Amino acid sequence: MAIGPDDDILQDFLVEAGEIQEQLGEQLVELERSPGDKELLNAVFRGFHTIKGGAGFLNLKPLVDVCHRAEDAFNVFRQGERAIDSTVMDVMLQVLDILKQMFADIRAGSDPVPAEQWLLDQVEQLAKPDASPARQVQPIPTESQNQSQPAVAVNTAATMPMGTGAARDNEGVDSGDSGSDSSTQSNAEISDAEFESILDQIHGMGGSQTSHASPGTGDAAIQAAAADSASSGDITDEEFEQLLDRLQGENTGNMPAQISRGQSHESNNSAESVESDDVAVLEAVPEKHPVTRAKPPVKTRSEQVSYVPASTVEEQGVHKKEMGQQETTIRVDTRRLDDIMNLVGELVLVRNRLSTLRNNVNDDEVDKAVSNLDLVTSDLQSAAMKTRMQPIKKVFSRFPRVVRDIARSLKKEVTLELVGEETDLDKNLVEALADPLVHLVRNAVDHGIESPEDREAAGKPRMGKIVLSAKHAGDHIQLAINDDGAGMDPESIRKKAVEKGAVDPDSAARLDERGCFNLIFLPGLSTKESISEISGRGVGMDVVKNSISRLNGTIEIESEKGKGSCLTIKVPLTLAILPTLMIMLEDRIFALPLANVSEIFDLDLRKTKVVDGQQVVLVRNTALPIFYLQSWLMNKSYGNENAESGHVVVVNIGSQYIGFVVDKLIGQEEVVTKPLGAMLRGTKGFAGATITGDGRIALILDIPGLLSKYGRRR
Amino acid sequence: MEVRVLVVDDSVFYRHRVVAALNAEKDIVVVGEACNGMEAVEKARRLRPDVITMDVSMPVMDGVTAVRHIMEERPTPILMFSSLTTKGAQATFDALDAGAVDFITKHVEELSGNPQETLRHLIRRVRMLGRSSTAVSTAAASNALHSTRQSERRLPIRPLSQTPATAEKPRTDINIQLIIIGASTGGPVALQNLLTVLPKGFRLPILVVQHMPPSFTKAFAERLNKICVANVKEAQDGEPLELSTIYIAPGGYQTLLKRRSDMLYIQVDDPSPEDIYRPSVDLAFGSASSAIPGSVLAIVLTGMGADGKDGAGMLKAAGSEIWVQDEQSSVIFGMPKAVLSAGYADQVLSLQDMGKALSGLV
Repeated sequence: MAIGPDDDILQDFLVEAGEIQEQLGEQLVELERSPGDKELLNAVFRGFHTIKGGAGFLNLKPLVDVCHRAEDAFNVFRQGERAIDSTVMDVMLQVLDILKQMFADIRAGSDPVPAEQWLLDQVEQLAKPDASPARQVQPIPTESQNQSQPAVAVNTAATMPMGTGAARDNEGVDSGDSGSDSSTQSNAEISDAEFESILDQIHGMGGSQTSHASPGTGDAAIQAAAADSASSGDITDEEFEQLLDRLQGENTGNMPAQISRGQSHESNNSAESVESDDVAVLEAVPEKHPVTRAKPPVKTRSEQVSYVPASTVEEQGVHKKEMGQQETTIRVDTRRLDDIMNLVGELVLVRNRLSTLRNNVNDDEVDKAVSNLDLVTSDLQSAAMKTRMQPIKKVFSRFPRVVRDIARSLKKEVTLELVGEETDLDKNLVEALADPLVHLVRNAVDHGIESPEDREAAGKPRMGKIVLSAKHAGDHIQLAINDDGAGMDPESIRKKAVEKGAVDPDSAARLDERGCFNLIFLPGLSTKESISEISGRGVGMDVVKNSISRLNGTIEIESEKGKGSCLTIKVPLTLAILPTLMIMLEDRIFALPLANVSEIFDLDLRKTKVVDGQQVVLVRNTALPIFYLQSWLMNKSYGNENAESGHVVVVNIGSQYIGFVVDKLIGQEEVVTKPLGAMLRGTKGFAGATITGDGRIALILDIPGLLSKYGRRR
Repeated sequence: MEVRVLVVDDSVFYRHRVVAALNAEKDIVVVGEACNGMEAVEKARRLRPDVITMDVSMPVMDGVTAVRHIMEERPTPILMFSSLTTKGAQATFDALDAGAVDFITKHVEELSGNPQETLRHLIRRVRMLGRSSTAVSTAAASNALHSTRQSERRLPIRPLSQTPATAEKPRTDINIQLIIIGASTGGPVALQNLLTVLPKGFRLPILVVQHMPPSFTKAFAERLNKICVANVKEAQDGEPLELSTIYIAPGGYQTLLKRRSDMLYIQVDDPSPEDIYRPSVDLAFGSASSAIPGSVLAIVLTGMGADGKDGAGMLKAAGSEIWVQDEQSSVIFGMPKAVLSAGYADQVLSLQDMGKALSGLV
């Protein structure tokens, strides 16, 4: 590729195309709910069109190929020449995935890998209308007209050519009903043998197609999947899911195809009537009446709003607003914002330093000036912070798709309601929250919501409901995932935890309900009997919990059996300012993130015991492993282990508690975190540094990192 | 003086490219950007640009509607960004109908595969439209003309009967058997206005050579067929000329007139690589000068460049009649001017007068 990933133009494209692709994901799912929404269809069409335009400009042919076909297909849909069904959706969502992959390729500086031909073909198929389009049939000239058109001859009018004016082509007739042929023949169920053969193909032969797939079982899908995995040999979860999706798509292909055939006559008629409407509009134009002319768009908008399910009305409103406001916003490279944030951080530190110094200078004027500076700095800080704020919508927007896909593959019926999408939080947080949230939402669909049959049996509506909400709560953001599913059974979690050896039976027995719920954050615990391909991806709740704590956040579970569960995540508004506990080792200051600190106590160090090679202390009858931070951080192998007493800071990582022995406690302080210099960046155990009020540098400890580096011998 | 441009496109990426390309030119300055039709109308009003580049498909208000509003409020030369597909053609003709003067492809792969080339193309067009003193008034006039035509269409009486024809009568010393019209920028609208006033009894065959991309000519013919009295179709290779029929030379090919024994045929050839214009007015004129010398009325309408000049020279030498559109009614007085300066033109007519004069040929 001629253009490197650093190219400004390319970046420009990726930013916009990425946004559109995300929007498309949302819009497509929305479209599945209200397939007739014209405005939405137009928006999707425009989305593909815009990406195609940019891609064409940059000569990104694989992208153009895909978008071009998708655009064509949506042009057909928006003309009402083909109905949108779940088969269409499955294909289009795959197209989106491919686009995403291509953007990633481009971002990584490589040429995007062209989409598989079968997908392109499938999209192309969709672009064929259900029935032969009526509009292409031209009016056949009347007899009298024909006769009144004698041939023109030079000077002497003589000869008459054959086929006068009758050379009307009849194209478009044959493009009629081939639209759905590939998807119509398939069995309703996949037998075990067939499934085996699919697996065989996937694993064994790679791309080569063999004959033992039973006829009529969605051959195309199998081959496609086989081709998919040809390069890697092993099938990944994602491929497997796609395969399932595809097979399902083909199973359901029958019905919509038939329905749409039945409608073909109707759509013919409507195509004609649209045309005549056009003419009417054209003729009405010369009547100069701007008011009436301005009306149609307004009308359609209000119609559209009434179409949309209640939960998304708000979102549409935001959309509209955004479009109107686009002019007042500019795009700024996030690096610049980071720079500003950094400088503001420096300023805060200088301010702190000055505040400390003014105590030494007994001068009212200085006092006043410093107070002023104090105020302005605080305002500046919060203003700078706001520039980095992004609505959580950016993360939320992917969930309709996530929920749809999982629900579909598990044959569950789930609606997702998003609340508080416009809640702003720090950009870094938005990104960091994405993965944990996806995992939790997946869990909610997989483990939380029951199958429609079970739900009916339990007297609940078939359709499960998940509410994903975000709101500001003081200096925190509170995110909640609510489901009205089966809820958790504390007893079975307790049992499972003991079985897996995650806790010993005695301490398990002592746990209250909430304690039991918290057990799911232990590594290696899955509450469902069998690990499904949805949630059991090797990523457990422990990982979720860890990533939340890395954001200095907390996660809580509430659940009622039979009624549903609610997971609440609290994260600070920003990562730039960190509440810490300042401690001292000898004469050096360190900062421990307060979120990790659970308690502090003084300890008679002579009361420690050694269990299994690990020094522990008994706290409320629980053995707490203790470590001397000094021996880890001060380059002394033994520290002052012979000291008689010390301060112990109990920190928790996940569900583990550990005691750190420190020399001196200073107190709580909110610090501005500064990244470590290039030389030290990536040093395990340190999250950054900060400057204290008296101008000294304090390193901020990263406790999980510290443990993984020094705590090995456990 | 700088050409002041308003760029309208919903794609930030594309807008940036266009703005950067235009601003890099010394004599062009982008005075504003709009991301939808509504904004475009508002900014056209406020910023008073010399030229507007307009995307077709946009949220809130599409480009065609915006063109209509702008032309109504403050006629401005508008260059449409369109897609060179058949469906793109429909929207483009709608935009031209609404008053846009010209169009250009937005999709690089449809032109040359070279983005820089597309942008250079754009710059040329913008500069031309911005410099053309007549583009604004023509745009306004053609819009006005267009609206009158629209209302006239509902009247059973032809407009010509209402206003006395003031145009000179064409020479009567030649026996005109065929009319060939060459046009480029501004041509689609001019042709629409010209051909729709031809009365029912008008039987002379007309070959229209309009510079246009391949996918557009068929749609253009279909469109004209709906609004013209005569039968309008895209010319096909090997078909004999018929009376009361208007042939549109297909884009991407060269349409020539050939004579076989006593018959006049249309021949559609593949273009040679060095052909700049496909279809070329020169080639069509030239072929007619040998196939049917002295019996042709050649008309050169608005357009950039000088295509048609050499062909007109050949026709002139063979004794044919040459008319050119006047500067006042031309969007771009390029091609007519070339023919006029070469001394080939028999008459210089406004579009309206030309319509009347043609109707007089019945």
